[in-house]
Amino acid sequence: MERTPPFKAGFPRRGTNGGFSGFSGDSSWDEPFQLHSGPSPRQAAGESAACWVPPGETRRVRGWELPGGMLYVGGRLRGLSPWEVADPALINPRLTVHPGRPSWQDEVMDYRGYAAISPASRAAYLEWLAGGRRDPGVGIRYVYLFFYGLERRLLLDAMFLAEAREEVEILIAEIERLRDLYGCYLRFREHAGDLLEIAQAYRKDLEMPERPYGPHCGEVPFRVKLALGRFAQDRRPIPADWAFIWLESDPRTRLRTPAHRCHREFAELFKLRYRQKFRGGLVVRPTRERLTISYRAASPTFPGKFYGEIPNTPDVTWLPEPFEALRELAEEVCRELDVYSRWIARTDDWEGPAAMAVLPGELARSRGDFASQALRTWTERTLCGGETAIVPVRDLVDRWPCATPGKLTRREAEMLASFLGHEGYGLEPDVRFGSPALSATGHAVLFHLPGDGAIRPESSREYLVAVLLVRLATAVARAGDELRSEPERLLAGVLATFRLPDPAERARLGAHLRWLLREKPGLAGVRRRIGALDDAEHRRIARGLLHVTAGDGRVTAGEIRVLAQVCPWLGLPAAGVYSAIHALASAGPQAAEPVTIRSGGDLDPQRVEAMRAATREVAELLDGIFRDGDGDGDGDEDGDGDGETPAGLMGLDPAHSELLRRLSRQSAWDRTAVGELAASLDLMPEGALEVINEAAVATVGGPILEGDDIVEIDPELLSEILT
Amino acid sequence: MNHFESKSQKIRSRDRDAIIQSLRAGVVPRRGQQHIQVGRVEEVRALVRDLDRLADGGSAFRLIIGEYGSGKTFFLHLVRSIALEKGLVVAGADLSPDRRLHSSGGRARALYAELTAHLATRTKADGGALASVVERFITTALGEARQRDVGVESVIHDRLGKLSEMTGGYDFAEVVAAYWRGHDTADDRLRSDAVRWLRGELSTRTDARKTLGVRTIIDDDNVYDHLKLLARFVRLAGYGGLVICLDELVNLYKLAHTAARHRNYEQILRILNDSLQGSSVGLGFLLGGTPEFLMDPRRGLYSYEALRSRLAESSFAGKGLRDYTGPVIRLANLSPEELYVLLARLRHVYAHGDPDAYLLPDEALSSFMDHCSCRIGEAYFRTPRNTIRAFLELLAVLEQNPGTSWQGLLGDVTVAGDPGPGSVPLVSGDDLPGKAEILRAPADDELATLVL
Repeated sequence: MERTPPFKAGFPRRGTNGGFSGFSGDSSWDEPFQLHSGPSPRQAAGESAACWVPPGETRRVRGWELPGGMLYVGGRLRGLSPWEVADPALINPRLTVHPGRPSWQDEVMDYRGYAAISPASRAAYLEWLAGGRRDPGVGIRYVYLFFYGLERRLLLDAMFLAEAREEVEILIAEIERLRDLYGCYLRFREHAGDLLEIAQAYRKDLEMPERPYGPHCGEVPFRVKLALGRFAQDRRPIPADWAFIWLESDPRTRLRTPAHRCHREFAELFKLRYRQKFRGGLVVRPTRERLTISYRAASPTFPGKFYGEIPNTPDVTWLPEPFEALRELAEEVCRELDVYSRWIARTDDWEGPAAMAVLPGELARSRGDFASQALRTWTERTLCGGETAIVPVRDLVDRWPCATPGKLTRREAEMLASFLGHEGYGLEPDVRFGSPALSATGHAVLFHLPGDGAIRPESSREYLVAVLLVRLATAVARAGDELRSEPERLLAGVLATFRLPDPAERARLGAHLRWLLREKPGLAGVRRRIGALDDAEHRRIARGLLHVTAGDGRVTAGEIRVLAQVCPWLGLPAAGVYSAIHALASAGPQAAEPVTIRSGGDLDPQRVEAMRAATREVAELLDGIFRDGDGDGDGDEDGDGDGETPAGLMGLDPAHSELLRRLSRQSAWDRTAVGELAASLDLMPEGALEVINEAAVATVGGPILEGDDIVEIDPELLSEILT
Repeated sequence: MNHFESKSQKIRSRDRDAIIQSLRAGVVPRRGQQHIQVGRVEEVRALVRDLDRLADGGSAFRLIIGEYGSGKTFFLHLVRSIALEKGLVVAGADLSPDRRLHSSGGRARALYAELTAHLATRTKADGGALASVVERFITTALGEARQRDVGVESVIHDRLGKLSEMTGGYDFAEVVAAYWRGHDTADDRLRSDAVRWLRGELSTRTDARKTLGVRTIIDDDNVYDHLKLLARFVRLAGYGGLVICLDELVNLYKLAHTAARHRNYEQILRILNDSLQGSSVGLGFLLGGTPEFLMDPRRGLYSYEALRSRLAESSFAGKGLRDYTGPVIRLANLSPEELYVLLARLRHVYAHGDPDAYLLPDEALSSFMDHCSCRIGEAYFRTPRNTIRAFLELLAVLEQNPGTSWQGLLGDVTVAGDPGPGSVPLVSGDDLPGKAEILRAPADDELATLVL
């Protein structure tokens, strides 16, 4: 409880057009009250202290035991208004009472107090007080008599008396009790409500109003303003509950149908989104505008309207920006609830599985009727803690409220997938993610959606491309002679090609792959979907497809057949497929990654060095062949194997040696002359030339006799041989 | 900077001129490939092992698969040179619509004729060595006849006795003997008829019976049998074995008639089976083709079930592991790094292997590549034919005008995009300028590269 009065207060000066009397710095209550003959507020408070019966005390008044206290009992208690001599709430024990005939009828005017009513009415009042102030049949005027006292205590005494301030909570509780008890009197209810609002100013920690204010209360209720002002003053974020109350009670608010039709869902979702959007709450900067109170007291003790200003508490509710933020959020939430709202308007199905499907996931999880719960339980049990499970579509259809029993329309399939999505499960095939529709006779894959369950309603473009790639890749792999491509390998290949940052999409891709392997769909419709992509994506798919299916260069003929079928769809002619596979198969270990166009300037020095080393190696290998061949070539051994005269040139037999010697006399010979020369030595010309040349190649590294019609002799080699 | 210069091995003028002239003409050099081979050491090693096995009486079968511009033809030529160096006989031909492995109407015989016309030995590397091979065989027979003092013809029949068991072997021996007779009796007509028979140029049996007295000729149906005979024969003549290089197998893939295509693939299967079972002695096949020829499931080799399973790559291959023992050798297109090293080697060759005579510094190589990259994009290293040509032209200008700055010349270098059937390099660039070239017909100059 505040130790000092929570506000400065005053009443309008007469004749000042209802303006404030002004709040001077020191005194809580302003001078103008000194204008009339009545007591000053401080004096009045002093008189209160003498008469007040604290809560809980019992006082005996003219034979009635009055329990519970909270009464003014005594001889003198003046009101603040100049024309009111005694406070209407004061019970003067000296006044006469007719106990025998309590008058339960309303005969008092509300501004007249205990002193002004008849003894019989006093008896009725005291009777009511003695009965614990709970007789519901009592006239409301008596309740007002008591209420006047509470009002005085709260507005006047609590301003000056510390002990009065300590009673505030009890007084509030009493007012609430009365309001509940006599709330059927609307005027009283209003009064009580207003006073309760003002009383909040005494509290350090504000309580939420237990009842919503409703949308049309004219202005933002004081309590809300107070709470928001305090949050602003302390630079604290506004909690979601207060933000929602503000939104609801602000007269500027106009909410669309979903907010009214499904108010509960709206409130819940609003608070949820508010926390998400503003990370714990909106922080409003305090303004210079102080928060003020204006209160028309019920008790005639107070002259006119009561005004107050709360020090250190700004009024922020008039600020447009924070309110605008809330209104925008409300609009977003309405939009989120649109489908659900329309659904319940059309079907009056609030908690069925279909209704849960159209409700935002966060709300759906904690709701649902029996059918929804049954579907949840079934899903959980089917997955059984595993990551994925293959289920017959029939099982799902049986658990879903289909319009045509046993047949799931496309829209219903979407809703089913959406329902499962709320529970953190995915379903493949899912039409929303580029898969074909569920076939009633086929199977589907249930899987766990990783992450916080926040599902994006649409798949990323990347995913759409990847899923097509998986589809094509499985078709290609299936066409192979055996399914060499393990699903994991295939998936890893696809994921290496595509960057799917969303784990849910990665899981979905895996599930889709399982579904493809289980159901083995053809390529129907794939071409159309490929056509919807752009050229760059075509190239990516084609490249990914080749890498996944033929990355290791081993491709079976069946796979090639399908590749050659689908690659033209991707803008890659069949011939390009063979080239690409060949390039993959022939690429060395270093060329695992795709080659890009490079000009001479950006050569990879490492690869150049590797290439040089390889070239050096092959050059040595070839050098060995082209030089060492001289020594151990088997041709020459056989060539002169028969003639083994050591005296012959280059190891030739005598006849060939002689032929060479004769030929060496001339640098060029006619072919017929050579024939004759050979015939004279009993040799065949062609064969002889071949033998001699063979020996020459083996010995000096080149044929010595060349030419067809004219046979020429290489003089260099000849001199080498002869020496 | 260059590793190969440190050895400072001088490059023969013959090799250098052959390399430079061929490359400037845009064709694969026929000799000296070892000087400009870049990388591919494992592939070369695998083929060298094959050739060694061949020389030991084994067999070999390899499909050289590569894209246009990846150097299939160069690789085949390199292997061919190595084979010659190792004392093997090599015959090469390009397949074409008129030359197939199997056909009716003389197209397979045309292939055989082409192969034998281009039969090459180490001393006759340019082809036309059939007569030399035959004469060398007869010469050895002659020596033996002299030693044993028996008739040459009987020695020939003795030595070719093993062949007689094989299809067409008896007639083959007859024809070789006829050649000897022609020589012995100075009957040039008989000799040339024998050579024509051996070359598959006789088109009717009547001619064969009339001129040589044999009942069969080399015909579409027995081309492969005769290649096997020829392989045995060259071994008997003293060579290590016979290597058949067939390029442009894509022509089989292009056959529109399914049955015709399949019969050709059957021949390949037969060759492959014989090779794997070791029943073809001293005979090796190297077939060059494009990826679609291998992999197209409708028209490629993979469309033929029996071949598909035999050609399947090892299940352990991939992921950086390569298996070079399988029948398929895949050649990747060049990377910029490989091209860089290749240009460095060309500079080396151009300078006769003398690092002091280099016409360009290192930075000029990368500047040159930059320049080409700007002009024709990625094609400059994927199908480097024109890049190489432009580079050699640059070197030629620098050589003829000493003191000219290469920086000034670089801007004037024009390099044309390769008109070949460049495929879409899907795994790599996206913005390839030459994407429209995919459907163009293969360039003729590719065919021109295998003139033996």
